[in-house]
Amino acid sequence: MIKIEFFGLYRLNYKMSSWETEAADVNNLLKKLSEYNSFYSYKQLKDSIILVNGKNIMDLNRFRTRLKEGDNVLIMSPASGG
Amino acid sequence: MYSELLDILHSKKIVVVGAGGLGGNIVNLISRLGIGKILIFDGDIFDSSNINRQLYCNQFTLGKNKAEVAAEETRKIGISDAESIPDFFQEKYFPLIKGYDCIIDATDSVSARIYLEQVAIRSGITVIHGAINAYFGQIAVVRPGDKTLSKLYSGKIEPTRETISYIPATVAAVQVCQMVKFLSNAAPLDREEVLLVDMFSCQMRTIKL
Repeated sequence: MIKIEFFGLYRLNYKMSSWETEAADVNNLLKKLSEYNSFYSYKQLKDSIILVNGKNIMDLNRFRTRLKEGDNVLIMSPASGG
Repeated sequence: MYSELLDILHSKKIVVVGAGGLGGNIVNLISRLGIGKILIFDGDIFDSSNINRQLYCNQFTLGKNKAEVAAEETRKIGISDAESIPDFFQEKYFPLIKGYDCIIDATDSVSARIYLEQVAIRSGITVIHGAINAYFGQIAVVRPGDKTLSKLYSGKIEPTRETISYIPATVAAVQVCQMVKFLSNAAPLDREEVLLVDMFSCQMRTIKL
């Protein structure tokens, strides 16, 4: 299984801090997540900051970043108020 | 060791951009640290909707400029020298920040923060970033040339939701902690590291963008 942690309003809107699933890559994971809970669409999720095992997917293979058993994924949106 | 730190801080000059939820708490904390000079920018006035979370908002300050109130409160404490500019930081104020040691980001919009990232490059001054939304916040030490804020705000930005008193106070305290670590060269956050604060679950963690 792959563990997905949520940070920021994702945590409130999904009403869960983490979730587990199986997915071949980040793209596949985001599709599964949007089907599991429709609060955020697949397109909206693609605009998140996503880290796989602590590395930004923009520095990996973006949405084609491969996932394997035991990987940790963080999905977050930044705060912007003051 | 403590007195050496105070000597370092007393020799420093800090710009605080924004004197609302984060900024009010930050000005209060750095005033009591004995920072030499504090220059505060804010073009906004206190409104009754600010009273739940903005330190300097009360029945006596409603309708007053936030930067002017913050500077006045600093002078009442009587340790740091404080100056207020009752306006939002912009191009014409660049000459005023020359020689300052760091800029604290206590603004309340993405555009203001992206602008501060550019200010860091142009002025050569490091920005101590902080932002809040609902129960959450983040802090970063943005050195001139870092793309931390551009990366952070490159995608989805959630609309700002109502926050409560201890969220700006917490994030402001961590920003001031990072400011002190930066000014005293005591291992502040690394370049493009972001400290995430979650007061819903009472957790903090650091990520690298």
